[in-house]
Amino acid sequence: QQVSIHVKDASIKEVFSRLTEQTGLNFMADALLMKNLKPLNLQFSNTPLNEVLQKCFSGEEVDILVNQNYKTVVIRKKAPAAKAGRQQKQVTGKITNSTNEPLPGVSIRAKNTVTATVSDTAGMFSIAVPENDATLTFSFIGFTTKEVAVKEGSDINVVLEDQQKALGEVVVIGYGEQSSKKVTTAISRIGGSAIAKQPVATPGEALAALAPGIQVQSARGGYPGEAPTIRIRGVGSLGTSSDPLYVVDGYPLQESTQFDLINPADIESIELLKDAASAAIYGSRAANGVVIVTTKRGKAGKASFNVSAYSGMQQIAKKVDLLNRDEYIDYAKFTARLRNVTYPAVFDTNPDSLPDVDWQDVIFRQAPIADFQMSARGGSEKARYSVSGGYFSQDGTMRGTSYKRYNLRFNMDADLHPKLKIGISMAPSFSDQYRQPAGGQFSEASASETVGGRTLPSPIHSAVLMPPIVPVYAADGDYAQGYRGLKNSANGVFFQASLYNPLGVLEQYRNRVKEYRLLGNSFLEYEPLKRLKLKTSLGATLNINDQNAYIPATLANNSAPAASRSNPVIAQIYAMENQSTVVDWLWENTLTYSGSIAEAHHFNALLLYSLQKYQAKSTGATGRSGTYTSALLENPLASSDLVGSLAYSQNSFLSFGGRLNYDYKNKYLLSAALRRDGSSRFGPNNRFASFPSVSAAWRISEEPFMQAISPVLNEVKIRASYGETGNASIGDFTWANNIVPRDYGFGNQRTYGSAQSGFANYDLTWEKNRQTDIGLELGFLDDKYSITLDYYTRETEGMLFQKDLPAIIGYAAFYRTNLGKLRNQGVELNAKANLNLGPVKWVLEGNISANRTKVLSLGGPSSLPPDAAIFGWDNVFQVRTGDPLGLMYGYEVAGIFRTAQDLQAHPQWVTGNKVGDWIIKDQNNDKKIDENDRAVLGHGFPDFLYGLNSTWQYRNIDLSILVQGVQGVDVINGNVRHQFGIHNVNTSPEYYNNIFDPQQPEKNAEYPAPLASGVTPLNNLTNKAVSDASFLRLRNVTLGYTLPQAALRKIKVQALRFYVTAQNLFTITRYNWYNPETSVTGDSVYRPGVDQGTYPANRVFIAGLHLGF
Amino acid sequence: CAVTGCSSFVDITPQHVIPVGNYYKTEADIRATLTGAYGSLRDIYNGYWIHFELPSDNTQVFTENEGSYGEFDWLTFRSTGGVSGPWNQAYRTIASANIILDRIDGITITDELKKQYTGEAKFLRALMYFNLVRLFGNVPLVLKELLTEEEAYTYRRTPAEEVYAQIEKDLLDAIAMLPPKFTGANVGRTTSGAARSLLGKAYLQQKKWELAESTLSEVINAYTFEPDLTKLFGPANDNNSEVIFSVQYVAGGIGLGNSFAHAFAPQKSGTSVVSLGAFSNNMGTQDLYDAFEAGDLRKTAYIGVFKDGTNPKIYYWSKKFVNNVSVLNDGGNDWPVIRYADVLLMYAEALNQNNKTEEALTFISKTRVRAKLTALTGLSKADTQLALEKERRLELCYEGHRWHDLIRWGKEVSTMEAFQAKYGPIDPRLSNMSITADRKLMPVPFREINLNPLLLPQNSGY
Repeated sequence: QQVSIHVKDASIKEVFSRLTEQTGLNFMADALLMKNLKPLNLQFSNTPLNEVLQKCFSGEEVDILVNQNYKTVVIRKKAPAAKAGRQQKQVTGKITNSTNEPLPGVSIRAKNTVTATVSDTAGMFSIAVPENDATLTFSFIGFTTKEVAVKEGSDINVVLEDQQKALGEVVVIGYGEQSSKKVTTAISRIGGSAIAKQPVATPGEALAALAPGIQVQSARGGYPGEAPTIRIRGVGSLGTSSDPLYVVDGYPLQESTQFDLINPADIESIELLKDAASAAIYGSRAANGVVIVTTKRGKAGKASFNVSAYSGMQQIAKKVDLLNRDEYIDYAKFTARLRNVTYPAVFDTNPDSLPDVDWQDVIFRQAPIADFQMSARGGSEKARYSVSGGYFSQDGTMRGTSYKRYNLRFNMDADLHPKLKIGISMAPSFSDQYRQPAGGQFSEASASETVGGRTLPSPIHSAVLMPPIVPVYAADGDYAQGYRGLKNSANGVFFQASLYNPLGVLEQYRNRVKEYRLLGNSFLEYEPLKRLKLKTSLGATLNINDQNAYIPATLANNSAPAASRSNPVIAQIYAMENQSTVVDWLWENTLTYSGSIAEAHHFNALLLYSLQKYQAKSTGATGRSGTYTSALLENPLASSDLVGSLAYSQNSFLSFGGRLNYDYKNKYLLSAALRRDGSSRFGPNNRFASFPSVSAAWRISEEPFMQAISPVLNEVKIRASYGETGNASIGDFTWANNIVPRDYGFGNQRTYGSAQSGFANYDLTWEKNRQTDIGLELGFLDDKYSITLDYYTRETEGMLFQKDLPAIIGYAAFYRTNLGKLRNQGVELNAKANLNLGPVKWVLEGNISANRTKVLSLGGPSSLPPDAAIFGWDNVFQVRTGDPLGLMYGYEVAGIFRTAQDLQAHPQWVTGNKVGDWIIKDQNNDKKIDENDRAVLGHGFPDFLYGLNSTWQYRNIDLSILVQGVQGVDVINGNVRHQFGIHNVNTSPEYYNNIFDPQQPEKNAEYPAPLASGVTPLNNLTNKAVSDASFLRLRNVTLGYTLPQAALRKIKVQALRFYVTAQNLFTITRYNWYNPETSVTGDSVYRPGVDQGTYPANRVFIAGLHLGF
Repeated sequence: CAVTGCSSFVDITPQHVIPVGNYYKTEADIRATLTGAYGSLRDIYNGYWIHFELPSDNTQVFTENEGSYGEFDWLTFRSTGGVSGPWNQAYRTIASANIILDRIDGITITDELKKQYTGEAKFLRALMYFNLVRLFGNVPLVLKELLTEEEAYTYRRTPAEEVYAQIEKDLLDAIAMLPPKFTGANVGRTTSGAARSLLGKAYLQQKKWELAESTLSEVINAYTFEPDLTKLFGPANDNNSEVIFSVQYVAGGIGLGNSFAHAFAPQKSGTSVVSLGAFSNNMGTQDLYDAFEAGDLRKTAYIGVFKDGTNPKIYYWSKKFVNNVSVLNDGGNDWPVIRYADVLLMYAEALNQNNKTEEALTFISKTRVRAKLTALTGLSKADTQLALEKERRLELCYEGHRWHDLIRWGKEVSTMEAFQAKYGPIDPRLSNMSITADRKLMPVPFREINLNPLLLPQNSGY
């Protein structure tokens, strides 16, 4: 490096500062050296830096050490030559890396002495050591520390192994870390950067397509703050939750929703423990896999500050094709004719006077999204810190919805003593969400979105059905809706009743959920003996959920169809404040010992004991209707009729276990674990269960006979594992039965009464998951290419089922018990390539996984009671033994009865058909159509999932794309149930142009006449409403530009990158509604893949920057 | 740490609810359980009209989207549909009754209260089986608290005659154990008169005419006839002199109300009938409205008319159950299970069947005269039966009697066919009706048969 400097009588500090300006390097020198320097006179032009520095310190014997990684130059006095005698000798040598390049700056320490030095730019060193029994320790960041015993002679050449090279990535396993090369189980690692770069509200959404074996389904598309459904290796349970267990920095979260509040930017890495053997150390609750979240911690070194921010716009990814005014009027007249009803005269007299409203544009909008992050990390060798803060804000693309999240995190680690370490993590967060109903039928949105047992209209389904000729606002300023609008006679109402103005809901209904959370965790680690570590950690989660909801008197809905501003229905006002507090603490103790015998046998043993307790309380106050003095008051206190509510919950877990990892020369690897857990959630007779696991791997590539081909095939590992894990995701005390109130009104007064509720099961116990996994890992050309392949089979036994009881028992209709057997089988493939194409660095990683679920037993009956897809489409889903999950049953349409002859030629519905009805395929050939002619029309779980993640780096430009694919899955489009002319609602051209017209029986038609009998779009699911929902989505494209170092030096920052990102840029699918990924039933394993009024997916464009200094 | 030593950490029990093992120890526990059994009647009778009136020619669901009620209106009952409601709710009440009857011996209680509680429990059990046997025919006859799952799977369907025999037995016991009247805070409890009336009704439904006559004759003089028919219904007239047994609903936001006002008010009526939520689920038919003679006070006292402009559709809503309540599901009108007019007409039917036609006519005339119609005299037995059928239809409209009256008279098929023929041309929905003789019974819920195949075979026609 060349520098130019011209100074007179300058201090060394001044010189350093000038040099820093030119080189971007920081200069450090021993204080003693500087103290003795005289003022300097320097005149150099384009002179090597070393020469200039030597001149500065002329008269002193100095070593000049340049460390480009740390951007530091250290000038130190040359180590004095060891004095002769005194049983000391001088050892010299050279340090290189595995490719024989010299390593400067390596610190060399003689064991049990204070003597230390560092290697020079040529990697050379010289150190005085005791004559006998001397051992040198060589350590350098990013390399494995090496100890070398000084034997005969005084020249030592040391090769330090790159940590990455030697042991591969380090992955986090339960209660520890392990090099990925030594892992014997199926673990996928996702780096934090892949998560942080996506503009998403919850970390789970960012996991889609990044690893095999994990399904991330954003069933409600772009709903702000909505967490997706996450499944690892299929659906693990029919009876209870299939959510994985989330462990954040060692703390197993009691509720999977607590994961949603983690700041994605704080995540260092996420490890997915997929097979039972890897998860078994979390035995109790690991049946559905474990997601281990590790947050960023401080590293010793200069403080680094990072600021990043992005902001952008979101829009719904797709609009549905619907009729406009003129088309709708044609359609309405057409169907009125078919139904023989009158339509408003204005349709003929003056159709142009009617409004033409695009109701999708009314409820959806372009919405901003923004994120701001700041962090500081650093520390000394003895104390390291990481402080970060984040703010995320997302307005919903549907009006009335928004989400904001505020995060702070403070991670601190300190070495109090060489044998004593302490660590503290505190992570407070706060989120603020405005919710609106999204999902469900126009008149009745999904119950989970409405409060107080009220049914509110589903705005999205309403917007789709609302005729374009209904104005948004009526003349008097009220929200217009069909029934107040056009009349087809003096006082008659033309439009479908109970179709309410969706904007009225979005602007008037309030459902605000604030979530406060504090996750705190601390540990103390003591190493009483070398390699024996005793760690005790104590953590607690405090969660406060604060909900505030209000249904005003002016909101029209089924309970008050005529409510409006001019006609407030005071009685329907509902104002609610609800707060729930959850305190969960965990005390965990581990004892680990790692060691080796004769350099060949390595082992690591772990003992574990933990207690966890959860307590929740929910209190609420509801201001009830009818007592308000003013319709404008939104607080429950406005009501003199306050009703309170109170609920409790608690549970506890007690666990102890152990694990032994062993390997022989990193070649034969073996791991075994056993955990025993007890939980208050189970019946007193059966609270404890044991969860064993064993796994083994053979790194064939380490065998001598493989060495010949190792330059090409450097890694071959086969591994196998078997393990058992448990599931306890049931509510608390479901094993118990009890007495609940049931009152009556004797003498017109409330008389307190009681009833028995629930059916006790004192034997209720853990659901068990047994999983076998076989894996193969290959690395080519020094891991330039790598492949991981896994096959697994996973059987869930004793599922925690809500089993139906015969109704004649009377006081209980079901009870929680263990029954049945479910199998998931699958294969996963992950492949990665690190390509260096000259100046372009290309990393390509792809994964594909397939999972098949089969119901093996339902504990007796061969099927479960059928479930409806949506209101009106009953008996669509039925779980049967021997079948996969998620089969959709319904009728197959074979055509339309166009003529009287057709009525003779085809089997009819049991109560008869008429011209214009659908011909239904006679599946069982019994010449009549009835319930027995249902057939499988589709399936709601995908055949396979794939993801492709590719990043390119060319000089200062980086580009990455992430492709997500889901293949072989169907969705039921419940949005179209009302669109075939029987109701006066809007429809899509696809329907309108395909309705059978008796006047034109020859015209091509797919849908029956509006007054059809037998199977109609209204009363049953047919194949016409089932669509292939496979999709390929360009989930993320990011283009970034990092400013060159030279430019950065001028503005004194370390790193500055600008980028633009498009999330969900496009989706290729056959599904013609908003989002193929949708599910109105959330994570239901019984009713997957149903769409009705669900929130569309968003397309997001952002621009952002990262700044490091 | 030894397994046993630590297990207390996970040995927690709920503090905030009463475990069953700690209950049924005192008289108060049994009394509360009995109150709870009455409490379950609120749900049952809130939807009683769906299964007991909607199938008939008296009422129709009149929304554009008939929802889950259509199958009962069009007689297309499905085993997977709304039949599970009355089945489950009846057995829920039966379970409470059985718990009382099984456990009352184990507690300290006065003989008098023990007799009363036993009688009440038996009445409730009989009432529930009477509903079940009429809806489903043969049903499992459960007479004890079921404690295990296995036990529940041993039950088959008991023949209807045996179910009726148990109903009669329970009611005879209840008659012996219950007082004739309750006052004050006990008003609403069942009495010996109620038990006797229900017994008469059960006999009548089985066409045991002589037993019906003798049983009902004892009720005839125990209650008084309310001369002003406008004082029969509405929260202000709860438990009037004509009430023999009614399900008590209390308005006022204490969770004891009904949803009749909303279910029965015309959907398009805005706020003109009720101030919120009108669903027109149980609208009177044109046929019912036209059946009233000129001058019949009941035509206006029992039926409200809502005309939707010049729209030909006219809504006939029940004034008996609709009054303007302000809060959803908070209506205070009681549901009359048995009232004196019903007893009079049942008695008249039994008399006529026992060839005491002239005497029967005097009882039929009582409700006619109250409605400002003329008394009937000099009709033949057959004409008297027809007059009685019409009188029952009009006097007891909307009260959930019509469908099983038609079945008793063997006229459900002919009546509904005539109804379909007459109104089908103006109401295309009627083409959906499935009128067969099998419709006198509803299908046993699919869920129950699926769980316990011993309940097979299904009722014919399903």
